[in-house]
Amino acid sequence: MKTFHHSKFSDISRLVELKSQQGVRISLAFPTLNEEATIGKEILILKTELMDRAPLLDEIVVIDSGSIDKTRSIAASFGAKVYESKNILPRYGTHRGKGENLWKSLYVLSGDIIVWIDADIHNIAPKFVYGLVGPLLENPEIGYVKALYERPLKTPSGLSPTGGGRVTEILVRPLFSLFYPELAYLIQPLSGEYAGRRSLLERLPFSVGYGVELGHLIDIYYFFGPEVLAQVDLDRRVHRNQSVEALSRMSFGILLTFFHRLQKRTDCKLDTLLHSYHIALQVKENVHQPIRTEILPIERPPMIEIEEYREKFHPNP
Amino acid sequence: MKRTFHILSSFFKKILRGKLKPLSYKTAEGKYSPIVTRILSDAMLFNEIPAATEAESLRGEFILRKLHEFGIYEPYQDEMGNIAAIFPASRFTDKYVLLYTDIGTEQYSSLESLVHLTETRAKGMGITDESLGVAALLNFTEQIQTNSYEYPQNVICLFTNLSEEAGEFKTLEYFLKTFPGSISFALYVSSIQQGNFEPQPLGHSKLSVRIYTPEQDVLNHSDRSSAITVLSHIAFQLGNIQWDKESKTALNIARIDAGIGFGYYPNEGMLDLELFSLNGSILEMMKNTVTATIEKITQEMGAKAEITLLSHVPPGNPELNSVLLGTLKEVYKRLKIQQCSISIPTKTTFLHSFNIPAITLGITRGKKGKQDEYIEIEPIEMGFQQLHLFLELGIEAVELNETE
Repeated sequence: MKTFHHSKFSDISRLVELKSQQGVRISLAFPTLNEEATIGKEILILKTELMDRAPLLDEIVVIDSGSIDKTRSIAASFGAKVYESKNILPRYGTHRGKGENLWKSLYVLSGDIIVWIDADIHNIAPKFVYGLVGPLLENPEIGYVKALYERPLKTPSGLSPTGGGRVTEILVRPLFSLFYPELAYLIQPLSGEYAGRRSLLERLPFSVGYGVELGHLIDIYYFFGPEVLAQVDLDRRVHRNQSVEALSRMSFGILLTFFHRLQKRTDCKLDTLLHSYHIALQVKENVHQPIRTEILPIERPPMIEIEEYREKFHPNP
Repeated sequence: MKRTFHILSSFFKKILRGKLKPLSYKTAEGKYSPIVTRILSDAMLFNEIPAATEAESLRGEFILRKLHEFGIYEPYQDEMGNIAAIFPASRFTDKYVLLYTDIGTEQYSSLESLVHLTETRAKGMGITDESLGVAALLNFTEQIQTNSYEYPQNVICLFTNLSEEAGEFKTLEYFLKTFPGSISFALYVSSIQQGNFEPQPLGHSKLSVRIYTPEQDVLNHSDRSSAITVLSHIAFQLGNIQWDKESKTALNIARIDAGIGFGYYPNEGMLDLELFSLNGSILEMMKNTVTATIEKITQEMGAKAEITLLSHVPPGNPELNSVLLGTLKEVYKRLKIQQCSISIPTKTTFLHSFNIPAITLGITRGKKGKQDEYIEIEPIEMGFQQLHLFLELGIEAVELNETE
């Protein structure tokens, strides 16, 4: 698997030239839910450096899941196009989750190359975009690029230099090692920053929840082969810490996606029903009390199968 | 005064004739114009670069990369870390106008220096000193370069290091002593002094005091005072001294720091002091008084003191600045910026010792606090327009003044 460092692509004018030669458009989308603390800065810096100063990006879009804070107004005030997820392709209903936002973004974005970046990054910089886009512009055989980085956690007592990627190391890498060893070489398979070609992304089903990144990797492995995957080192990403309880729910969603993929691909037969409730135990007055959270394995079909999408992007089959 | 009024009224006539047009900027998609978002973007990215480094090399790299992007491939550089873009005048002249800002900072934290943006403010440690000033000067440089602006005098956009770590004015002093041109006036581009003007440039001295008392166990110590007790006593005594009000002589206890925390006896501490005055002799006398007071108290309390003079800038010459001050007030009036007369130590008085008139121009308003440090976004556009307007008016005013 090809691995790059972002500095290889820091000559933005060269990337703009490649983009122009290839006649492609590049879109950036942020999936959001209550990200008022960071979204403004992310939009302002990336729009200024990569749209205003150098026309690498053609649009910046926010797809919001119904934030109750100022995420949408801040995003609009700094110049992003803002959509509410529920208003995109309303005929198909709506689900809450990052994967849902990414899937729907394919319909509203116009780019041939799509960049998705999480909206909770505190140390955003142009490298987050040009590092992901560069390998795609320079290497026609690459179809999907994942970010990797050190992940110091922003905690009340300061920056913790280790501790990022806990779900990756405890859950995902062991699973990949067992079933898809080639994917175990991805340093951060769950990173929330990645870019891909529309021609590839529109053929992928999307888990609406936590499993979207893992689902992408397994599907790309099957449909296109691991050789279309690349990863790029972005040095460091500072983001907020997540509780162990939240990571446990995330792991449940990832496992759901994983086992559904296994069954679909007939690599493995499960003779038992997968339950849809994550059970957490909370101690109250010295007694463990169960907290049940329903997490359904909802999956959106490849966007290419959606009639409205085909009419918009492939009008002449 | 009458002459200054005459000079300024001639500018007004020029402005009314349309020769000096205010710059206007295309409104961007979004709430703020492209020039504001560019300045903010640069300020935030710059603020997150670690400091202090040797000659602020990391921050210098950022400046050099930006200048390269603007098409300035061979900027002026010296071994002290000064970086400058120099633009020739519209006519032959050996006169230069110096615009300068500070790339150093006393406060950098890998966490707290990450900037947080709301709809109206940018918050983060260090953003007020002087990340926004650096960003504004960079964008000013970009505009001159890309639009081929020419002023009647050569223009220097200097990025220097005025941090205490770098000896405050040593880097700038090196530039002033080695630059082979005649500087007619200077403008310090600051983050948060918008609307302020200093009619009387104060002199100031900075002292750092270190106190040592004998080491002892926290539960088994003698009657001797701890470093905290000694420092408190010094602060109390200095605070009670009445200084000459007429010459605006004042003392500021800038910082007291002592002790490790619970369970430890505090036997070391430090105290930072600033002394201000419009009168050089009084400032000198004040320095001696403060030093003697500290030495007396520490001796009486069985402690040891080390007093270091960090910097000393004699009071400036108000007459030297009168033309620039008149111009600044006119710029504020024209741009409808609320004016405020202040008396604080600035980074311009030092240039008076080189006989260079110099004033501060703030890009926006904001606050520098221990817990809360921010700049306001909305005034940035007007703050940036001041740079062009001040340069136009300032050059004419200084030249007219010299002629007369």
